[in-house]
Amino acid sequence: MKNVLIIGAGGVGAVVVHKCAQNNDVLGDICIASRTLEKCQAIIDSVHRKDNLKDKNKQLYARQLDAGKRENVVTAIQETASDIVINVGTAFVNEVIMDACLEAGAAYVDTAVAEDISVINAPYPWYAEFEWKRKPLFAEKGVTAILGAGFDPGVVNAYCAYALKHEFDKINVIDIMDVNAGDHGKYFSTNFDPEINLREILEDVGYWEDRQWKECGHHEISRSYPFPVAGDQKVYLMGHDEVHSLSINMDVDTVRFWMGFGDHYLNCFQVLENIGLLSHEPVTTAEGQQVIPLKVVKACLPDPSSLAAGYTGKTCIGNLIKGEKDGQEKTIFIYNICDHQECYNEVESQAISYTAGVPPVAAAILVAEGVWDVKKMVNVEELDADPFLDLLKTMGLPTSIRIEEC
Amino acid sequence: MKNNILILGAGGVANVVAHKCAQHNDILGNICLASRTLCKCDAIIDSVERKNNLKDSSKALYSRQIDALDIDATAQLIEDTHSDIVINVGSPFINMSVLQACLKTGAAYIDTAIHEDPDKICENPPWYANYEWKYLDACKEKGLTAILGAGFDPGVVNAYCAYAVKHYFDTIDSIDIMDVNAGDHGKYFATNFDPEINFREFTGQVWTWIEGKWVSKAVHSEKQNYTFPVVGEQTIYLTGHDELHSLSKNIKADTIRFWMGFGDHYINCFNVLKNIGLLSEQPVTTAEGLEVVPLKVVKACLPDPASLAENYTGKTCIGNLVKGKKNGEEKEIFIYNTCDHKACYEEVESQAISYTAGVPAAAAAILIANESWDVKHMVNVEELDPDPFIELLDKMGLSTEITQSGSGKREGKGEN
Repeated sequence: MKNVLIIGAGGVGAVVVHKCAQNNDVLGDICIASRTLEKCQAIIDSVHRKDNLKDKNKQLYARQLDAGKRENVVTAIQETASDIVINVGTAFVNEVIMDACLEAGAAYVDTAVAEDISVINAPYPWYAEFEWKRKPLFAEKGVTAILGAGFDPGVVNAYCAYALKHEFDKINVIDIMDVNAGDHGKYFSTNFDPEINLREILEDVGYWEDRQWKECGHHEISRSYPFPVAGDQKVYLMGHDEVHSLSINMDVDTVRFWMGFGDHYLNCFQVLENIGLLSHEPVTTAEGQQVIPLKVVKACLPDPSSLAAGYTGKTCIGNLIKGEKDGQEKTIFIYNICDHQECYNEVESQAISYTAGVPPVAAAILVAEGVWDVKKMVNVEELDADPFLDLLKTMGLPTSIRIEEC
Repeated sequence: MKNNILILGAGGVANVVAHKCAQHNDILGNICLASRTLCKCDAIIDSVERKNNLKDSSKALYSRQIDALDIDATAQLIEDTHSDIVINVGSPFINMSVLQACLKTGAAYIDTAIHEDPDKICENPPWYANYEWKYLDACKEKGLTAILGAGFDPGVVNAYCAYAVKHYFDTIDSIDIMDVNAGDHGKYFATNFDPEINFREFTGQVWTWIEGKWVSKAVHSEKQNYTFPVVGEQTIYLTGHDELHSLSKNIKADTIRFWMGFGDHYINCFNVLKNIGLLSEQPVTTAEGLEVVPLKVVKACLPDPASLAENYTGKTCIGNLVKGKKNGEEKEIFIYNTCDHKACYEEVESQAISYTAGVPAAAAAILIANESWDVKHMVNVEELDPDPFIELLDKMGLSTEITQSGSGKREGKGEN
């Protein structure tokens, strides 16, 4: 039995709480903590509304927490007697929470690489700056830390490990592709925090090709791919967390990440960017007020969590993997399809939050059961993929494999 | 004979007004430039001196700091500067306070845009009745000359209507005022004057005068292509505009509409900003709790309109397509001006949009000073004799052209 502390009460945090509650017979007491207590409470209300608390004898409760200070997080871990921390707050506080876990001896699970709020276009590989520096500390103290355990990064990393274990003798090229063929019915909206989302989109694109880092501008390179279920979609090369660990751990020539964007989304994005409204540098209004334009754009856009109720359609995220098996060239697409409305019916979230939130709970269960309690810091591809993918299948995220014709 | 001029405002249009007043300071006398920000006034004075536009160097050209929302301070400034004429080319939020300061002191009043309330956009017609015309009686009583909307549009286009009535038509059916800028400022996206004021024109509804009635339409919902002299074919959109609110009362015509030219790229940028809510004049609260008006942030991100002038190329064309009857025959004229951005920059260091708005206000001041327009009450431009105005503008850099087509052209279309 392992108690869980969940930090962050956004869309992904909501899914994590629902799924932890559904599995609280394995996990134990659950505390949801964030800066804003009401957001935690709203999530707990949602869990009760959907009757997702499996073992009613276990606790589900909220706690106010400013996760920007290590001592606050240490105290929260100790007072809640938590054995596992699932960090789904902003990526700006990862470092602090990791250190708190080290100090308190709690296992750490997150879903996104740490970011410095003042740095756009961080040096490669991203994990080296904050996370991997702490590898010796986690190993020394025997504390488990699983980095990037959402869907992408996360499940797509496990897809790579799975492919190498079961489908290939050697892998040459990994193209991770993420498309949302859903419709939220709004003029323009991001599916998670616009500040984080728009930042990652406007960064220069770093990708691993022919065993070296290459760079291009955002939305400069695109391709079309016939996705299962979602059909033909245009995807754009983009920098993304998993490329930074897979390029090191998988021993392959090429790892790229592609994300689907519609023409309307790109048009809106380009107008905002070219005018300077996506800037994180403050501007001064005629009245002398200092404002960061991106924060104003965020304030104007719909709250991502408000999209879920009306969202229709499906997401498709998967890896197109090329390599060799028994001396033959082989290509597979290993993927998941997720339906926005089904997610809403189950946990009152859309599929983008759902695909990101279910996997860290699966990871926490595997840590609680000892299967993934590796007593050191790892990225997901370093772990055995089989129990993870098996568990995800029972938790709402089944995996399919399509053998591509060469 | 009135003299000494107080110019309120220090933006792009004020710059042109200062240059043109300076070029005629033998008639106008001393010129004081006043705004909230003194250094902007001084930069304009530097520009006038750099371009050697001060005709009579024995007359003064100087600056003062003023908050023109403060009626008493503005009245005091009018008295201190011994100004007989006030040209208000500040933000349209200050019109009413400046007009009251003029009423207090007896100085003639000229502006180029209708009064606006910061909290309201696209007000109900006729807009002038909500603000300016409430002072019609007060002006008459005091014998105060107040000329409303004396820029190009409103302003010269109103005079074009009066000119058409006087010289070309017995009856007028329709007037389509069309304003296109076929110039290129080389920036991704910019407005040609204060973005805050500019966008306010397009974010509400379009009031237009059709068949003797006010009709409300959605912004950018009606467009047409028109082939202009010099600048060629352009796409123009039905837009609400100041002059409709007075012309509908003062000029006998069934239909009076205003059309503005927009390129597809401008419309696209505008639509994205508007649909996301970034053109809203109502504050939003950021996640950090800061209250911000999105439109003010967009303004802060866009290029300063004044910075566009130096590299602006191409021409503007503004004019009235007037249809009606003369001696029982159907008749159509297009009365217009074309203005070249670069030529404006060379003369007064402004682009053509500021130039076309600023020169007419200076011309109106000259006509008050020489008494031909010193009418001792409040008027819109179409109520005045257009001839001296159009003649003077011709000499001041804004020439008027007229193309005509009579009924002969329409014969092939049958009797319609």
